[in-house]
Amino acid sequence: MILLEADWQDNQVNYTSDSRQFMGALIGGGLGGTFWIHVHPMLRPGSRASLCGAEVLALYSVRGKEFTRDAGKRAA
Amino acid sequence: MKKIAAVVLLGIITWAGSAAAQTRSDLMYCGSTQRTGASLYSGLTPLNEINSCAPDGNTQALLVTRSGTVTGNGAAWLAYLNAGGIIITEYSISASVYNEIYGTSYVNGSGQGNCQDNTMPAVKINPGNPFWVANPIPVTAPNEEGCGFDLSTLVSGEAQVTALGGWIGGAISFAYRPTVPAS
Repeated sequence: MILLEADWQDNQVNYTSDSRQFMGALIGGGLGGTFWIHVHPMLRPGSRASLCGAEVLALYSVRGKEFTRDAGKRAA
Repeated sequence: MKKIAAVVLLGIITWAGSAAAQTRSDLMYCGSTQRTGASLYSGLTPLNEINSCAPDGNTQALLVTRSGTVTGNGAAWLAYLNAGGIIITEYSISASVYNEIYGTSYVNGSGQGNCQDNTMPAVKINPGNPFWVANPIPVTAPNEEGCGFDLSTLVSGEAQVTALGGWIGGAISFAYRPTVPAS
């Protein structure tokens, strides 16, 4: 959960591109949340990997030759 | 074989790092907002914007603004967080949302800032946190700070909450509580 005390919904003109970038980072999962992760068959179910300083617990399935994800959850 | 595996794994992790962004289709607003879409955020594929307080598996993030309905949503919001959801608050409602989800009773701290809307804090707290390392965004100028209420009491009372940003006077405006993935 992200606690953010700022009056962002007011829509004044002084809202900067830095704040837009900041909100994009938060909404995009920069502090946690589910994201998609592509995995390789060499990674076994329950494998843990280091990802940008965060810990990733990848739960996945392998669909034929397309090694797509299932859900990965990150605790930042 | 081990070397090949290591190289492949490194490549995968590097690639996955760049892809660790939004995965769901919707952005949900609980409460009114005059700022939406590209006026609010950048760097993401545009999201479908929905007005509701009931996030689901398609909700990338739930943004609760000052007029959002909080009471009665705690259990559903906690379940949403535990399922990988993201909740982000706005002016004056952070303590209420936290209390509703986690059963605490914090009150708003003192009013802070210049009400210029900006979300990016004027001060980075814990600048070594992986979020700041991954997002080296310049701080907001003091005369362009957003406004809200100091989160210091909540942060000091909750061991699982980490402060990441604040106002120029030392109060806390930005903090987070990570969600532990369900195993």
